[in-house]
Amino acid sequence: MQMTSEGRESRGHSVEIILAKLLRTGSLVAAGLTAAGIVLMVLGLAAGATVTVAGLVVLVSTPILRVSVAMVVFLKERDYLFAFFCLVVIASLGAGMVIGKTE
Amino acid sequence: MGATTTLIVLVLSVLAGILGSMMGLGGGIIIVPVLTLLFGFDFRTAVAASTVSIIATSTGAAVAYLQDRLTNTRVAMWLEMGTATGAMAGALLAGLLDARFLFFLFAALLSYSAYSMYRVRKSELPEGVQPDAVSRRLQLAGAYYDQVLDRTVTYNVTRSWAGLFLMFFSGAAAGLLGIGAGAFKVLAMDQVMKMPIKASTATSNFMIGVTAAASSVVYFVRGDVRPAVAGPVALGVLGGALIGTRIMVRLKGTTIRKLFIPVLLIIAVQMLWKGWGL
Repeated sequence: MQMTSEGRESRGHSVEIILAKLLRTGSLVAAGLTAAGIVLMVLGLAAGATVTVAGLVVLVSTPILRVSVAMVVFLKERDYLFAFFCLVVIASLGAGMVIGKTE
Repeated sequence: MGATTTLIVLVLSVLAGILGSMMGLGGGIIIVPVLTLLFGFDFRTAVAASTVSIIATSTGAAVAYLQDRLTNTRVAMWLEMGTATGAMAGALLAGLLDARFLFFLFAALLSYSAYSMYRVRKSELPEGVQPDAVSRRLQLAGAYYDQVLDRTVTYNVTRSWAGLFLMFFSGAAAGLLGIGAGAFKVLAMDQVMKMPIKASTATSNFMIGVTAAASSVVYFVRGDVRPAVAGPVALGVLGGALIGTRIMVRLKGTTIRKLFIPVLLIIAVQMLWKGWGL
C-alpha cells in the first residue's frame, strides 16, 4: 500500500466492494434458480427447463452488468479514462455480438 | 438426460470449477472433452456449456478474489479493451483466416510459454520490476495480503502496451478457436507485465467472464445452450469456484506455477489436435 496514494486506495476499494457485492448477488441468484430448475427437470416437470434458463440468463448478464456498473462508478469518481475503457469494452462486445448473430 | 448423467456432469463440473478458479482459466479444457468424448454430446452444445462454465468460474471466483484484493481491477479494465476489441476483430475475420495455421501458431506459442514458465519455476515473486509510463499514468501497481508469505505483497506492473497487444490477439484467437483465452491472459500478466502469479490468475479470472458473456449471448440465440447440460455445468462450476479460491490463497506462487505448466501443455496438445483435424 505504501506506493499508492490515499486517493487511489479509497477509490480503488469502492469499485472493488461494489463489484464484489454485484457478483455475489448474481452468482447466488443464478445458483439458486439453476439448482431449483435442475431438481424440477430431474423430477420430470416441464417448468424445470424454463427455471434453469432463467438462472443461466442471470449468470450470463452478471459480467456485462459488471462492466456497466464499473463504468458508472468511474464516471461518478471522475475517472474518465477508466470510464472510457469500460465504454470501449461494452461497444466492442456489442458489435461482436451483432457480427456473431448475423453469421 | 437422466439423473445419473446430471449428477456425473455436476461432479465433474465442480472439479473444473476448482481447477479453473485456481489457474485463472475457464475450465473449458475439462468441460468440452467430458461432454463430447464421455457423454457424446455434439460439439456446439459442449462449447456453449463450456462458455457458460467460463462465466460461472469468473463470477464465482471474482467475489472471493476481489475481497482478498488479489484482483487488480485497473489492470483488468486496461486489458479488457484488448480482449474485447480482439474478439470483435476475430468475429469480423472469421472465415478469412486459416484456422489451421492459427491453431498451430498458438500451440507453438503455448509450448514456448510452458518452457519460459518452467525456467522461472522457483521464483515466488517477481523482483526489480520498473513500472512503464502507462502503468504509472494509470496507477496499475497493486498490493494484496499473501496468506502463505504472511505479509502484504506490493508489486509494480510493466510493459502495459505489450500486454494489451497480446490480449488483442488472444481475444481474436479465443473467438476463432474457442479455447485458450484464460491461459493467454495469465501469461500476459505473469510473463509480460511481470505481475505476481497469484494476482495474474485472480485478475485473469475476473476478466474471462466478460468476453464469454458476449459469446454466450450468440449461443443462446442460436439455441446451443441446452438447459439440461448447461444447468448442471453452471451450478457445479459455481460451487467448484468457491472451493478453488479457498485452496488457491493457501498455495505458494511456485506451486500454482508448477500446476500451470502441464495445463499449458494440455491446451497446446488440444490445439494441435484440433488443427490436425481440420
